[in-house]
Amino acid sequence: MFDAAEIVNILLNGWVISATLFIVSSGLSIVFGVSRISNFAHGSLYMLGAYIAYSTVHALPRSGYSFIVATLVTALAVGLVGLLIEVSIFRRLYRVPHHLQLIATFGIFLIVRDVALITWGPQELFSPRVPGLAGAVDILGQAFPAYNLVLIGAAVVILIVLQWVFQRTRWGVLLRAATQDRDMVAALGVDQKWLFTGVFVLSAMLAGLAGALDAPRLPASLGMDINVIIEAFAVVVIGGMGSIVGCFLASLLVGILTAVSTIFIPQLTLALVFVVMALVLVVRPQGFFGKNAGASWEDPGEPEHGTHERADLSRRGWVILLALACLLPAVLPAYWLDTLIETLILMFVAWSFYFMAGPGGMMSFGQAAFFGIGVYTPALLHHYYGTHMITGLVAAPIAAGLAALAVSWFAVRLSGIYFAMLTLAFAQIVWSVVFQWFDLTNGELGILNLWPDPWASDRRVFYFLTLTITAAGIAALRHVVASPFGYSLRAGRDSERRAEATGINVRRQKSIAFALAGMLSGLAGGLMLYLKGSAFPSYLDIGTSFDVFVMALLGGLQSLNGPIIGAVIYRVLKTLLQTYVEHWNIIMGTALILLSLFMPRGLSPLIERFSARRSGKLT
Amino acid sequence: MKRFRTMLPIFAAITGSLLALGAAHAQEPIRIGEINSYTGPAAVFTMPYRNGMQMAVDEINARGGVIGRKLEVIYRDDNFSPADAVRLANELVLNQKVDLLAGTFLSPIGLAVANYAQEKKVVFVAAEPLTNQITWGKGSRYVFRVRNPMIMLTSMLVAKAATFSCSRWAGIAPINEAMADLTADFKAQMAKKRKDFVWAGDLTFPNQKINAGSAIDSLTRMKPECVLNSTYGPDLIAFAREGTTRGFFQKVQMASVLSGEPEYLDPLGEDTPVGWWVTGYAWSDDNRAEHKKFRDEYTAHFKTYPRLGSLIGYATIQAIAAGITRAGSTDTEKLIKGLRGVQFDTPVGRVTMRAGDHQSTLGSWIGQLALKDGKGVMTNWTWVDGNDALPTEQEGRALRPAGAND
Repeated sequence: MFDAAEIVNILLNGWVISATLFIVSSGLSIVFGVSRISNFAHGSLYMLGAYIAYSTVHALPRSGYSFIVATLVTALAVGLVGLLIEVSIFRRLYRVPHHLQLIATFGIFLIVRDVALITWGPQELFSPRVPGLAGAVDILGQAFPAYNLVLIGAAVVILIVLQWVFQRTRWGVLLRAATQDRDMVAALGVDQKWLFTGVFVLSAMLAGLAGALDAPRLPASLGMDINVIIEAFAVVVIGGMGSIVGCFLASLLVGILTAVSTIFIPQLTLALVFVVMALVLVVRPQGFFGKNAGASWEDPGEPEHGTHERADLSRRGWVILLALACLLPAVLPAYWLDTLIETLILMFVAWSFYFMAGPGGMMSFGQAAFFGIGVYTPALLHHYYGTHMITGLVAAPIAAGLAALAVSWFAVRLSGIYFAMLTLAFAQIVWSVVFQWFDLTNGELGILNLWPDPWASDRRVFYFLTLTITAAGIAALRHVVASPFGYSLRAGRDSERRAEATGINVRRQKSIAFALAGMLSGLAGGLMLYLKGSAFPSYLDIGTSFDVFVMALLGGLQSLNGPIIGAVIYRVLKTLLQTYVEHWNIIMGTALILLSLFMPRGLSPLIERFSARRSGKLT
Repeated sequence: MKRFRTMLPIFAAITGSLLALGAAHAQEPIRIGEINSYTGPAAVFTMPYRNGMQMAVDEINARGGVIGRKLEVIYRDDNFSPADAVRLANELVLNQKVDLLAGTFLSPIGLAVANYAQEKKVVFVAAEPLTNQITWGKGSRYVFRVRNPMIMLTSMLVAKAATFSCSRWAGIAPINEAMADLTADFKAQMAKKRKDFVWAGDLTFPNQKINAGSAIDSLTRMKPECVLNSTYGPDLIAFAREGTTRGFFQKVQMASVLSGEPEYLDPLGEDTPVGWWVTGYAWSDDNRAEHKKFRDEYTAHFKTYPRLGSLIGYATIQAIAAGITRAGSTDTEKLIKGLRGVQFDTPVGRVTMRAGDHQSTLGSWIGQLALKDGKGVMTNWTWVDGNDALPTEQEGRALRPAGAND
């Protein structure tokens, strides 16, 4: 059915897809290797590259040289942007906890997107064809765009140059040394500051270069950032963090798989990359060529001063708060009651996530999967079997809990970034299935028209239902944190070996915590479904995972009330900004960056200080 | 008791001001809650749309508004997400107390807001969603649509494609409901018109994630003589350039939906694939007096020419204003009666909001792509009236769920 020429053509198409993907991913990989930061804003630099290349090419006379000049100018310009970002933001990030690093880079992501919209407008911008390379060459009887050969060549050149830099130059040797042991390099008197700056600028230049190279092949558009960053994460994981050769081979694999699936199984193109990523993480977590560099990612950071609140509310305080919550429906206008219900549900997800991430030490990037399973299970049951709300609310946590239990079997073997990436892969797989399996889930149209049973259709009744479930759930989780199980969980987080030595089955404890968090997120998802009346794939996407991540950790890792404070502040901020400000991403992004930089322990210490002053205690 | 007495003047003041508010109500503007994707990738459509909408609002208000009240549009950004759109619809209805909802661009968002409107019994005038479902399969009493549905564009393409010399077709489409409908309807209608019609196969891909090289490879393997294209946006741009480079379009005849709309056509620039038959908007060439006036005024006001979104935004406000005038009120039940069968004027002629299926008869353009001064334009175009290309009102009515026409 396929002759040699066709196979060659498929492989070449795959190689073209992989070429710029490799250049982008290599930048992400080296920054991760040296600074251990998963730079979520790396795709934004790629997008900037495409836009800047477009503007530069149009400012120059049209010739092949202009294209070369524009490409180099773009790489330098994006490198300069990288320099600014490093000096102003990243430099302060290296010592903050990892979850805040991620939140800060997400802040940069939001800002760049709005800046691009303001600067270049919303229209897609397509660079002209490159003079001299506009046509096609004949490869075994098939027309193949000449420019695509340039892309393939560029990727190979970058591979060779990076290998040379890393293997043969003193700077490269220092970088590799820093990748293996940062502290030792510092102890040997190397100025780490500029080493890190250099790496970041190089990585930004690579992203910019990739954007510029893609500009004549793909139009510059505002969705490029998120599309590329998710794939780049997958490539880096598959290839092995910090390995350039691994990155090259992994992008080749992803490119060819994409080319093949485009022809044979288009429904699976989105999921396939993540299936491969998950398989690699399960079988060989360090990727093709990675050395197990996870160790430094797991440094627990500052020792915990117990998870107990210094200024937690007393039992009487909680009772008063709950009583107030019960009075609210009488006074709140309908819209704010709806917002309050939504906030309660988000608090619940945030708390279940916090339970896993804080005391459990498992920073998941994919909690949306379990929340989303909780949204979709009742929706599908209703759609196919006509079940009612109560059945749905029972089924949601069961389905989400079982899914979480299954994932945990693989996930708890991993830690740090590998754990995070496996959860991300799982969430992306679930999302792609829901998004693309139209016959089962209605795809992007979602499942509509699911409202609470008649007895709960009054918003006030539904509010009390949500309040009861949320309060009971959070109280139960708090209880678990303070129980022997909670202590053994924290022991496993702080020192896995010591915990094992005292006879704690750390993996089993983590598994239970992961499944419990998944289950309760699923229950929250079920409530969300009946509040909104509809299920959409967006409940499962990376944006939702990120919202949960931010809400749970904004309040601070050490605070039991952190997720509650975080959920309220994040929800209110986002609602107000989105409603009243046109370029709300910039403000949100700036807020996230500032919080990560200047409030490393989250928002709750502020509130603690406030209540400490009130009660006259000074700590 | 003493405290009560001191409070008395305050109560009186509050009651008084409430009464005054009630009296002022007659002069309060009519509030239209408008939801659309104002940030992110769809902003290219929604900015011209919003301009068109604002132009219509300003014109109407300059004439003194409708039923003695000014129009006020409250815009909300749905962040490209149906879930956000539903939340914002709720905010607009409960908090901003809007009289009706309008807007939306993406079909999933349109359907989500339509479902909300039905549940909460609010009128929703859908501006741009293309899905056939919104007025038919999932239609409701509360939802009206201004833009032409996908099936109308399909019928227009079929009328042209049936005259092509070729008969072996293949399709390329992103994976989504509207384009799946387009392909299915196209096949069904073509099979009726041409005995020799053959479908060689589909090439589908995730929206916004085309791999143009592999896609063209795969299409070539199906050996089609003509191709139905439903890619749009960034996918279309990558597909057009790669296809031209690989000489693919020299081998096939192309019929393509949406590609002639300036929103999709302009970014193609010199890569505009000349000769494609497309549906679109012949903004620069359509010199009917009313349209020319609209184009000139729009250009003078916004320093750029109108896009299709501008026209639809403008027409949406006209439809709403005409509906309210006819109803004499913004009360939901009266407004539904007012909108059903209302006629309103647009820059491209008089349009009816059909009473039987809540679908407007706004027309559209079909023509051939050409290059003029490095920009894509439509040539050989014809204007097709909605009355001639839509399913009939009876057919539309038969597709609607029970209760949608009560």
